[in-house]
Amino acid sequence: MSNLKLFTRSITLVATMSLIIGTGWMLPKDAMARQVRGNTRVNVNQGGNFNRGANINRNTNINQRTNVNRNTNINQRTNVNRNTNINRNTNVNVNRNVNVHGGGYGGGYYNHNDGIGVGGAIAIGVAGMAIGSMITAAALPPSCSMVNINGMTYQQCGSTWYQPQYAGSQVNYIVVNPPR
Amino acid sequence: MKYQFARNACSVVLMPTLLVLASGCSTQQVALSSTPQTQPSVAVESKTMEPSSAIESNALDSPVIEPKAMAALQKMGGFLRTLKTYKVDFKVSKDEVLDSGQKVMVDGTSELTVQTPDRFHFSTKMDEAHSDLQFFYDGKTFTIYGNTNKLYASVAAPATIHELLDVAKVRYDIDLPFRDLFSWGTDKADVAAIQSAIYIGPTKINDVPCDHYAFRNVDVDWQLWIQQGETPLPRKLVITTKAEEAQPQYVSNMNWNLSPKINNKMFIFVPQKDAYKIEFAVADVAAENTK
Repeated sequence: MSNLKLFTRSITLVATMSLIIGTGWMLPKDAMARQVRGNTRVNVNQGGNFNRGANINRNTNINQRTNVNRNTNINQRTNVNRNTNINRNTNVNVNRNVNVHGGGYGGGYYNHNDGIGVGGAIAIGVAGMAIGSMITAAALPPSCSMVNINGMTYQQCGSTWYQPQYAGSQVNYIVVNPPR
Repeated sequence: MKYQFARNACSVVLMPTLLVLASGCSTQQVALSSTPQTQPSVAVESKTMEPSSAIESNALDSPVIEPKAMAALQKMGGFLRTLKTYKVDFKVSKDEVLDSGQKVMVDGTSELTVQTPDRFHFSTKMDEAHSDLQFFYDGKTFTIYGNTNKLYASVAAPATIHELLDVAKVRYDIDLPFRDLFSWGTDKADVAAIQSAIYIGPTKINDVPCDHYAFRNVDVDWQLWIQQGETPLPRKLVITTKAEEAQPQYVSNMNWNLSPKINNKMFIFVPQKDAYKIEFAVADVAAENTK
């Protein structure tokens, strides 16, 4: 029975992926996205000690960089857990395939600084993304437009609205309710 | 039926293996009991042979701290703290570690203009990493601006560069790569963390005579090329991240201008018409506290 389930799931996955590839929904904007670990140190000294009420001393954690999920404890204003997106590599591979067929992309390199995935993307093509889901700039559809509504900046991609925000030095896009 | 067969096959394979294991065990037991005195040394040896962390194996080496190297670091830090206005051009190379563990090196250039204690402009471009950013700090506001995506985010900032660099790192997850220049010569330099400090020798960086030093901390190995003479500036820095299995490196070459032309406007971000304002994601202090 479980075998049958697995089989059905694989078929669904393949069908979903081909749908995405077929529609070109996941075409990245400028380059193929590769996931990298942003763990290469650029400063010798740890720093980060300042009094912000909580007196958290980060220096005690010498294994900061070995911890891939270093964002575990960082919740964003939108209360999105950054680590919920696990299967990001799958999506990246999808992107690459699209690039090869399209011929106009590839060879690029996306600096993915802080382990934030672009997960949930597979489900997009079919069911739409859940509010609060997050994707990287590379995973944005090609035909989006920047819209300013009441002083807030949105990225509108068809019926899906994203709110961009800087997470580290990179911009992530969070799915929000349509503002209009 | 398939499963049944598989199970049988498994047991067929397993049985001899178990037999061999069992016989191996008993032989070893006999050997050990016949020479009980060797047992402790065997145990110790196997412990050290374990692929434990690099940190442990480093601890086994006798660390050397040459006073000359520490003095040079201190002298450089002291000199950095005397600077008021300067511009640094960086040429950097950075290993990025792919999820496969493979290292890929990306190059970039950066420009830093500083007016202590409370102004800087930093632009940094890593082509292959699709990173083309500017940072503005004028003592009141800290702004990040993407030259390509035209998106900017601004926040109220602390009163000095020193404070801002820490806030940027912890609160906004932006570790500006020139933070060390402001740590050295202050109590933020992790001098106590240095386990080894040696002088390698004299050399030239961009035709400037320098002394080459190598340091080891628990989590990073790093090398510094300090300009000889009365202006002991860091001319080159290499950081090896040991905590990462692939041991990626960051290489930074620095060209210094100690009397640059400064325009106060360059520290203040003024959005162009096609720029859009967005927010920073903020690391949540409360959540970290409960860690």
